[in-house]
Amino acid sequence: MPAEASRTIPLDATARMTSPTAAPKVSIRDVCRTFSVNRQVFHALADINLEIRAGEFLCLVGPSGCGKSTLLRMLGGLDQPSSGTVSVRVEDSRRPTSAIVFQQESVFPWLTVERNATYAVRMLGLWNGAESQRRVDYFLERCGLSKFRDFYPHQLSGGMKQRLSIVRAFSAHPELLLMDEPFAALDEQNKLLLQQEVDRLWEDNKISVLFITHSLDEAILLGDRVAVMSAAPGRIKETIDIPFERPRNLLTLKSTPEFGQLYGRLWDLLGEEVMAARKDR
Amino acid sequence: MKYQSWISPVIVLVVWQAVASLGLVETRFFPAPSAIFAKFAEMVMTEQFWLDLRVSVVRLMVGFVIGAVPGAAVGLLMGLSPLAERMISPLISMLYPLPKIALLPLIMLIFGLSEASKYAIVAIGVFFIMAINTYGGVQNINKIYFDVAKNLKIPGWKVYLTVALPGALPGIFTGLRLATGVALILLVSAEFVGATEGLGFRIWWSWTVFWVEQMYVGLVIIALLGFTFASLVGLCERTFLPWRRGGGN
Repeated sequence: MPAEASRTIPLDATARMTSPTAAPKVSIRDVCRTFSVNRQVFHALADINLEIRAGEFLCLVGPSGCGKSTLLRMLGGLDQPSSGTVSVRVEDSRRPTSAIVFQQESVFPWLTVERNATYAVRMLGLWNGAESQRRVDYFLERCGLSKFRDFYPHQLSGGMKQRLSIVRAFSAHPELLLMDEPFAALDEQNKLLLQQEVDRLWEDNKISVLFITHSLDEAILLGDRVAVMSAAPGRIKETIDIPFERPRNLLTLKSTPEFGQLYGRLWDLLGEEVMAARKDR
Repeated sequence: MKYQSWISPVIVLVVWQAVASLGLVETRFFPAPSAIFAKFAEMVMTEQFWLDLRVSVVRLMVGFVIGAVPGAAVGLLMGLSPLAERMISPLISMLYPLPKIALLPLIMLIFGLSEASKYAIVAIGVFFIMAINTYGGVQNINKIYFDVAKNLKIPGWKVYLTVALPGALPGIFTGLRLATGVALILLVSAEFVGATEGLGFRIWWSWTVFWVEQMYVGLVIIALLGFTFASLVGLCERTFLPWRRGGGN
């Protein structure tokens, strides 16, 4: 461990760096990924090139089966490219490089809400008493789980469990947050509330985010940029800047003509690919 | 226990008592519950009774621990290491279907009539059940929990302790619950043929001298022992797995 680095991790430790000249947080270069399925080679990802800037919120949309999750798993260290390189620039080697919020339920059923939330920090030996406690308390509070800290996951609703996995990921204080359709299984009200929470948590904590979604509303609401992937084998078809000021509100955004234009453009890009993906089947 | 749970045993006892008292059944084979209870009251005053009970409980516990700990360890190893799984699993699959009681002559050949032979037969039965259920427990852990740990780059041994072990605990407890019954069967069988004291021996001996009431007392005590043992495992499960309360995962 580097001795000069401070042990304390204030909530706003990393200044947001969005200047285009800064080195990218994530560089994905010429990445291909093939799987062999029943002795046949299946090309999941073909020639992916993508960068995520430091402090950027990048949304990734694409037809189902296009390899979005495979790409996210590579950034999370759970999969390797068949060719090409994936690199994440590490600024503080003590922090986890990334933390994933999975689409499926992933909180540990044998740990209480609080122990789940503090899991990464405890296991990585980063627990430093009051400061760590303050961070966890803060995230539990923000996600409305303070009252449930001694509950076990089986005593929580589906939405609460998903909020807990978001708390776990934020409490880990990763340099890169990877969210794989985190709200896909949630009801509309919970989804709206959690979108706001994630937006606020990201703004306050200045980390880089890769956010996979199939909702174009969600992508425009949350993203600094939206990358559109093609049908399998997945490629980055186009990346679109989302120019709206923050904080954003979905209802007011939706009433602007710019929103309609962006939505239309994304839908045109995605629609072709959804049709292409269907034809292949 | 709810009072409804007591209804069926009480009815059985009342009917049994009635038909025995009225002479409707052969009391040489089916002595009245009151007669069995009287015999029980008489026996608890003897040293022999407490010796038999103590000897059997010790054999059960020692054999259980000797079998359960390595069984769970082998199950964990098989679950976590594909190499170990490939090497050990065929052996387990071949030996498991063998009725363990068939090994008793061999075990008595090796250990004689000593206590070790009783520990060994109980331990062997418990070992296989624990190995298989623990292995199943590890297999049933959702892979996503390992993904969470791997993504956060948690060191391997901590993953074993905080993911594999707690994740396998439900399987381990299923094994323990099943093993209590098997352990009792094997113990009593071994005591029938290869012991000079213990509850199993007392039942067998009662048969040879036709002390039917004493035989029934032995049966009741073994039933109570099995019930107590299973309840203890259940208590441990509720204590150590609070997260299972009110439903699984």
